[in-house]
Amino acid sequence: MSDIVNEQLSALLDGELPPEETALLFRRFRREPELAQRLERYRLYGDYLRGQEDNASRDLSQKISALVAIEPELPDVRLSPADPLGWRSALSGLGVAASVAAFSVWLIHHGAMLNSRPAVVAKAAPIMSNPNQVIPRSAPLSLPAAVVAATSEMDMAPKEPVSYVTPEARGGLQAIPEAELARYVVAHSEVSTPLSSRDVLIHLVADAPSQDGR
Amino acid sequence: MRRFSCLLGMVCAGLAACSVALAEQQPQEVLAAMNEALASLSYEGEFLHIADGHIERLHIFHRVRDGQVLEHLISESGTGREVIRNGDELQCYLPRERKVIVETRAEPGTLLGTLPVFSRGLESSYRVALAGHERSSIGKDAQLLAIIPRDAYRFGYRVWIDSESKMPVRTDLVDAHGRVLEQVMFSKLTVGGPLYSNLFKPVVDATGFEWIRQGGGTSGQPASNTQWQVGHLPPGFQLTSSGSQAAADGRASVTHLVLSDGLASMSVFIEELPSPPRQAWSGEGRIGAASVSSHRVANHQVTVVGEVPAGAVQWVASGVRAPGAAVDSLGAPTARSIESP
Repeated sequence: MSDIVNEQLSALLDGELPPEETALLFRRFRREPELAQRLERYRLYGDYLRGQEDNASRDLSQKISALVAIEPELPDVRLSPADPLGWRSALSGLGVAASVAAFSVWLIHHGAMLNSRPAVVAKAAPIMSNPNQVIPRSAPLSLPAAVVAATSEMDMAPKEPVSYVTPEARGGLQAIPEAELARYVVAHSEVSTPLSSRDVLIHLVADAPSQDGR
Repeated sequence: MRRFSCLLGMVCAGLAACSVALAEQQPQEVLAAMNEALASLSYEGEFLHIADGHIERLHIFHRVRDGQVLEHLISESGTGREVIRNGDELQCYLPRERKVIVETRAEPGTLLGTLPVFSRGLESSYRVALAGHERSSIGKDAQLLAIIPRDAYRFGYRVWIDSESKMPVRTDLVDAHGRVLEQVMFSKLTVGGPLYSNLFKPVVDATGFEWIRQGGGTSGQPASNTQWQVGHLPPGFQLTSSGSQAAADGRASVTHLVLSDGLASMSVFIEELPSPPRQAWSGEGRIGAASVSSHRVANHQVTVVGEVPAGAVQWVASGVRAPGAAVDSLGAPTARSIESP
């Protein structure tokens, strides 16, 4: 799908597409029903995220459905607008898939640990009772052979004695209020490179610091 | 037979041309293409974030239209926190604290302005290498890029870059020994798509939340009138910008100094304690790739944040001196001396 069509779909959903372009786009829906399906999927996704469905959005959906009269190819995502639970069920299905993926990741890492020598860090690796507690911080992971080869060729050893220990996460931030910490991290993310900034914000969203002692 | 020889010759010539083209591709060019893709493409993705023994699934929506970036980062489980970027404004929703932090970028423009530029200085701190191709977590061919720190003052990355879109579909944060500290792994990535405006509105109802506005003050160039001094700089780092940020919640302005080695960066925030003074915070820790160190200096709160090992931010924090104070002339610490407790 071209960027132009994407822009048109986006503008259509936002109610910003000029009438003449709207007519052309609707004609295109007849020829390319998958385009309409994709539009509908995004519309429902947005509604799900916001937990609501406005009238304009529903009107647009009905208009498109009537126009193209297509059978849904993706029953797990193209559900009736009046069936938000169904949409949630679809996401639950995705959740199961993600859990399987997560378990696979866990299995890989767990296998890597079993096959590796004991960790040299003083702190013992936690016993992993479920897939949500999987990777001790310093556990070596299985890496693609190409990466291992590349890094081994490049003399990874630092010039100073190999005594550096990566600090434990959030070990001592007991005195800084969480909101203040977030404030600093958000401000810093704006001066980081895109890759670093994304990682910092992801962690901020994914895993709030513990409340211990705060 | 002659026709066969001719065909064979053409194939060999083609292969040779391809080999030359591949051989000429430099890792710096691949990294630059990835950074440009991150900043300029519209995309929607689901990914796993793996760190500190936890796995979490997140969604990201990223739209670039007319040079303006809209982005929504949201977790499917967990904190309920959300980050929304709208142009030069970043909003971080903290439901548990009932606060919204609003950070305004100092210099209007696109994210392209923040891309790292590989220079000789950067190459003295990192080794960058291509490590072949692999099938990625989204089931497509990806090129592996290794950014390896030369010492313990910074982290490195292993990045799986989608060969088609140039998007990073998996990122491993590694320390100087190559140990993986954190992973971001896409399970689904759609480049393009009708990312309409509703996707960039917060899910959380922020009615009654406290809005904290900050930022908007750092200059792009080093300021000469900053009287606070950073006496300890790890090798390769230099002051790249400085300035004062407005604090709209009634506090004094915050001095913000930015140190960078060209890839990793550290922020030094210096904030006058209110009168009557509250107790200063003190401590160290880490959020994702970002380490934090904060303590009191001359009735000011000095906080250093950076996507570097904790020892590096602690070293920088210990060298921040108030105006008029003597700056010690210690060189950068050895790896042993910045070893964390």
